[in-house]
Amino acid sequence: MRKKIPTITRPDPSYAASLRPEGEKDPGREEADREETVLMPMSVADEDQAPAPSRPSVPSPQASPETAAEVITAPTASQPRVRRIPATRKIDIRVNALERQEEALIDCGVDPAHVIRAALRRAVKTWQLGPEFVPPSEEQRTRITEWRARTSLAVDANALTSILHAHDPLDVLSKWALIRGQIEPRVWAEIDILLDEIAVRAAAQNTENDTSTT
Amino acid sequence: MPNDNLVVIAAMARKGGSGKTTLSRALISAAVAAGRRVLLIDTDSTGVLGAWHERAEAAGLGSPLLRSISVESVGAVDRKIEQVYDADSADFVFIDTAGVGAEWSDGIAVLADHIVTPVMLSTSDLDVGAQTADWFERLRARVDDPASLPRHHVVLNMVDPKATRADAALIEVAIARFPVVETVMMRRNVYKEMDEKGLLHAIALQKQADPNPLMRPHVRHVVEALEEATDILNNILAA
Repeated sequence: MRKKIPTITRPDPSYAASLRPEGEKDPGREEADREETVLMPMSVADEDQAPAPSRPSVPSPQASPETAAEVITAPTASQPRVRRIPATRKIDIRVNALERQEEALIDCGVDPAHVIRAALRRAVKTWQLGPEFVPPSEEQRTRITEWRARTSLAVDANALTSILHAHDPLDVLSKWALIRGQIEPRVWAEIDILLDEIAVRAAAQNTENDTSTT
Repeated sequence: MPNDNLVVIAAMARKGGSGKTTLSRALISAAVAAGRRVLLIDTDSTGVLGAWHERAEAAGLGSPLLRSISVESVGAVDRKIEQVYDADSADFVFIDTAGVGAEWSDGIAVLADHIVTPVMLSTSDLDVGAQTADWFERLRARVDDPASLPRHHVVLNMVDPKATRADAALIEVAIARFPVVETVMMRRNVYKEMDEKGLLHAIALQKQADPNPLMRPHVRHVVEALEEATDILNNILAA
C-alpha cells in the first residue's frame, strides 16, 4: 500500500510569504484555523450607534475625495468592535465517482474528472459539517484514480471535535475518514444531476442540429 | 500490481540557484545507472529539468528507463504518483520544484517519501537552508499524522575539492543544524556536461566508446560523479 498522505491542518504563511502588490489582503488571514477574535473597523453605516467622532463636522473644501474619506473613516477605525469568526479546520479530501457512474461519465462527452470536480464544488457549496458521525457508504467507488478530485475543505471545528470525541477519541483516523460519510453521497448525487443536465443539453443540441439540417 | 517499493523524492528549497536541479539530475543518473525506472516530474514553471530530459533524448544520452512530465498543480502530481504506483510503471519518482517557499510546498512535501534540500557552503546559503529545515519541522505540527511525513535530508552542494578551514567550519555548522547526508556533492565540471548532454552513465559510455583515445581518461571524472550521486542516493534511502 502506498504511504499514508498526511492531512495539512493549517497553512504556514511565514514560509510562503512574499512581496504582495499594494492593497492585497494578507492570504494568511483568509483561513481561520481556530476561533479568533477580530478587531473590525466600524463601517460608515454603524456611525449612528457610535460615540460622537472627534472630527471636523465639515470637511475642508480643499480636501480631495481621498482626504475626505480619510476624515470620515480614520476616527471610526480607532473604535474597534468585536466579531466572532467561526472556527474552522482545514481537511484534505479526495472524492471519486461510483463504479455504477463510470459508464455514464465516459459516455457523457465531458472529461469525467471535470464532472466530478464540478459535482464536488456544488456539493460543498452550501454544506456544513454536522456533529454526528455518518459511516462511509460501502458502495463501490470507481478504480479510475485519475478522475479523483482532491481539495482542501474548511469545516466547522466544533462539529469535527464532536465527531472526534464520539467516534475517534484516540485521534488515529484521518479526518477525511470521519467526514466522508457526510460528503460523498452529496457528491455522487450531484454527479447524477450533472450527468442528467449534460444529457438534456446534448439532446437539445442534437434536436437543434436536426432542425437546422432539415 | 501496485509497486509498494515506489520511492518519491522531492527536491525542495526556498532559494533558487541552490542546486536542486543539478542534484536531481545527478540522483536520476544514479537511479537509472542502477537499472531503476524513473519518472521525473517537473513542477518548476521554467521547465529546466524537462528540457534537460528532451535534450538528453535528442543527443542519445537519455535512457528508456527515464520518462518525464511537466505538471501545473499539486493535484496533478498526486494523481501521477498514484497512477505510477497502481500501474507499477516506475521505481522512483523525482519531483523538481521551483526555488521558493509557497503554499504548494506543503502539498508536495506530504506526497514525498524523501525531501532533499541542497545547500551551498556559505553563511547566507546555510541561513536560507535553515528556513527550509524550520518549515519542515513546523510542518510536523501542522499535519494530522506527523509520522507519515517524509524524511528530510540536506545535501551539501558545490563543495570545493580543496576545502578551506572556513569550509570545514561551515560544514560543522551545517551538521549541527541540518539532517546532513554524509556524502557531499563536490563542485565538478562534469555536472555542467551533464546539464548540457544528459545522464551521467550515458556520458561515461559515450566517452568510453569515443574513437579519440584522448577522451577516454575523462571517463574517470564522470564515473566519480556517478559514484558520488549513488552514495547520496543510498544515504537518502537508508535513512
